[in-house]
Amino acid sequence: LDSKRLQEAANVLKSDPAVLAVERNPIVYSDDYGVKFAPRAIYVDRASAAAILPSEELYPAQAWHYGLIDLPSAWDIATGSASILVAVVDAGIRFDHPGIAGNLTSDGYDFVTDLAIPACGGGTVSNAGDGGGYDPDPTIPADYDMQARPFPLPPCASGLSSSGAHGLHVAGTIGAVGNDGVGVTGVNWVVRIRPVRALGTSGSGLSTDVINGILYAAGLPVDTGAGGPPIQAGSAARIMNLSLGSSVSSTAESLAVVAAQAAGVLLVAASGNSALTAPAYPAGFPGVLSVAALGPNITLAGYSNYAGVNGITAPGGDLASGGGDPSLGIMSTAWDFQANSPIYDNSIWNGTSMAAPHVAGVAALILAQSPSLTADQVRGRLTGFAFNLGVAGPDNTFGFGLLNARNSLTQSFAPSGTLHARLYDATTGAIVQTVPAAGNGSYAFSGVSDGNYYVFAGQDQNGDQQIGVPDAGLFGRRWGSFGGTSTPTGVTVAGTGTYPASFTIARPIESEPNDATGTASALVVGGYVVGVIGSPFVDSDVYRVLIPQAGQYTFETTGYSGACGFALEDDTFLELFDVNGIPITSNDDIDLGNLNFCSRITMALSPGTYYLRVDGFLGGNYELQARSGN
Amino acid sequence: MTAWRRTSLPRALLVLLTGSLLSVGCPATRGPAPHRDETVADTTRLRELREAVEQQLGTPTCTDRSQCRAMPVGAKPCGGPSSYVVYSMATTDSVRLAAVVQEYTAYQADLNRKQELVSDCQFLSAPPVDCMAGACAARSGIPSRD
Repeated sequence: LDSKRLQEAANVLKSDPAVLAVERNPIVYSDDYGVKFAPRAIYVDRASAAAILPSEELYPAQAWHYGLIDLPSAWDIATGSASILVAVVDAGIRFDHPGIAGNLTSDGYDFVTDLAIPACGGGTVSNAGDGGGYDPDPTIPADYDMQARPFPLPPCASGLSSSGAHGLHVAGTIGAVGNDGVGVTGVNWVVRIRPVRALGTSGSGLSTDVINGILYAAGLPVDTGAGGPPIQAGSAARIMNLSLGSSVSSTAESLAVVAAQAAGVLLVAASGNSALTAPAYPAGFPGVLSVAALGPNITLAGYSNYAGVNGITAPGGDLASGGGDPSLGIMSTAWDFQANSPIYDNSIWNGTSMAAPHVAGVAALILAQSPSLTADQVRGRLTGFAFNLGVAGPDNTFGFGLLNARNSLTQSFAPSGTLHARLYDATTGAIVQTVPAAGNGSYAFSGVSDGNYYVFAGQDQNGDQQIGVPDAGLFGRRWGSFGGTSTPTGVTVAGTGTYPASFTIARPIESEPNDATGTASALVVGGYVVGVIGSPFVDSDVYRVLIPQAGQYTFETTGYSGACGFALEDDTFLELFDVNGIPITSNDDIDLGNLNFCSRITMALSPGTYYLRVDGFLGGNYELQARSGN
Repeated sequence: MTAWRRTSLPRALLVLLTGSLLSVGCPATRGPAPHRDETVADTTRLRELREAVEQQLGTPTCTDRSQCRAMPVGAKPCGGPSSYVVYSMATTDSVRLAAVVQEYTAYQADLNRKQELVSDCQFLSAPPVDCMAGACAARSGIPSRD
């Protein structure tokens, strides 16, 4: 297959010892033809598996970065808790952003020292922006785009940003209110976020301000220097996110980090954007969980520093990798300081700043599930169940690998899955039998009449008895057939006997070339295929489907790991043809208004052979399912 | 055919040129202040490098979008460029420009280290560029996918 994406995904799978075993495990073979097995379970064909998706209108744009960490599967287990406190030490927050207001605490603080910043039009603007220095209000009142000027003049503030508030973006990834149907969602649908402002209106600040912010977030006393008593929050946050950094190690900052850790806080920090082999600081301090950034193709973003051997990786976006495609970034809450209004959609950024809050967010999910865990135990859940990348075991580039929310919550490396074998009538395409496979992968169909058959097998998830259905995410549901999914080999049964059919299964990948009816790949009703459109309007994928009996049938594309039309997923166009290649119907988008750029055809069909053609407007991945019913 | 607009551009793409606030002359530093002579020397060197960049840039005249490019310049304390320069392949020697930009960026990164500066870790991405009124410039607005 000419898909770099799929090859990389395959390499990723192969690099993890635990997953490698799973890939090799589904050996499905026939023996003891005629042996009676357990009673047949009820199998239901459906469009998607049991992952939980939030109702936010812009979720499709977030699907790739949340899908990459298996968050939809994790949301089936935990969606957050209002009892878990996460501190965000950053550039401040907007309490008037409805997308996150419900998850913010009122005990934050503002540690930004008031400094004068030259304005391009003359005069100055304030780096604090609120008329003073330290105060109890962590609101970011302004955010300026900075413009370079000829040296020796320093950069000047050119104007208010139309898409700003770095701290709001970071906090939104951790915990924008979820499943409320508006805007975007956070990793946690419910959580308590303590905003601590330490960076100014330019995204920069003093080291001392950051140090004070760290201490305050950890519930430790802070001397403001104003002569009064120290200020102190009522409690320590369980998690602290630091999407900021410097190339220099500060002793004072390291001591603040040690003090925060002693207070029981897990510190999560961005590894930095210099494409260096070591994390910046504070990510580089001992005990701080350093987070490097990945793009949608599960490779280190070009700008990202390495995670360090004790670090971890998470989606941070890689806008430069896609020729300007903004869907390769991270979408979260932001603020338009020109219109003074909240925004959700004009807010796709990238950076290790965006990767760290994915980790901090999953840490909060873990605590929501198991509140008594210590910081070290949460860290162990994150790193110990990450998806290994690069060489086997931790390495300096990826640390422990790719954050995986589902794994960390379930303390396992992949969903549990049971194997099932399915027998198709090769002439009509009808499902003849579906039986569970034994623990060693063996199976048997009994009472089979003479004829020609295809043997398929699939893996369900967590015993839900669903096979042959697409399941967007890093793992997917394995599905395959004797002879290959695209070109199944018929098994001819002629009289009593044993007819062996042994094969392996994985995620079913199309077989090129399949651009025309003459080279079409097979697709069975009750099955699915993973495809790639290499070149839009040049490459097409054609599938041959046998409809076994008159009735309603549905053919539907879905994303491979995210949502159609975003990141590396194609925006598909689906056409149905009769046996002679005459077009019957087509569909472009399931729901254009709600950003569902997948395609779906549902119609009543007579028995016979049909062809499906998948085209794509962008090029990229897709999955195509054929099922009976709607 | 689907006709929709990509949701948005990141903040970094909406500005022509950005810069690090915490550059030379900015008070937002941490750690001990650099020695005066060192500061003067740094400023002088940066001015020379900046002038070299501008000299290489020249006037970015163009006749077609394909001639326009954006090159990262400068360094944020947390990494990545602090801004981008837009130039024309038709009028600028990109190899020589890259050389002076690299020297400038390395020098600013060194200053970040010396002055122990800190910033957020949002990576500023290159602005989309276009040939407008005969000159290369950063393009505002949102690219469409029609």
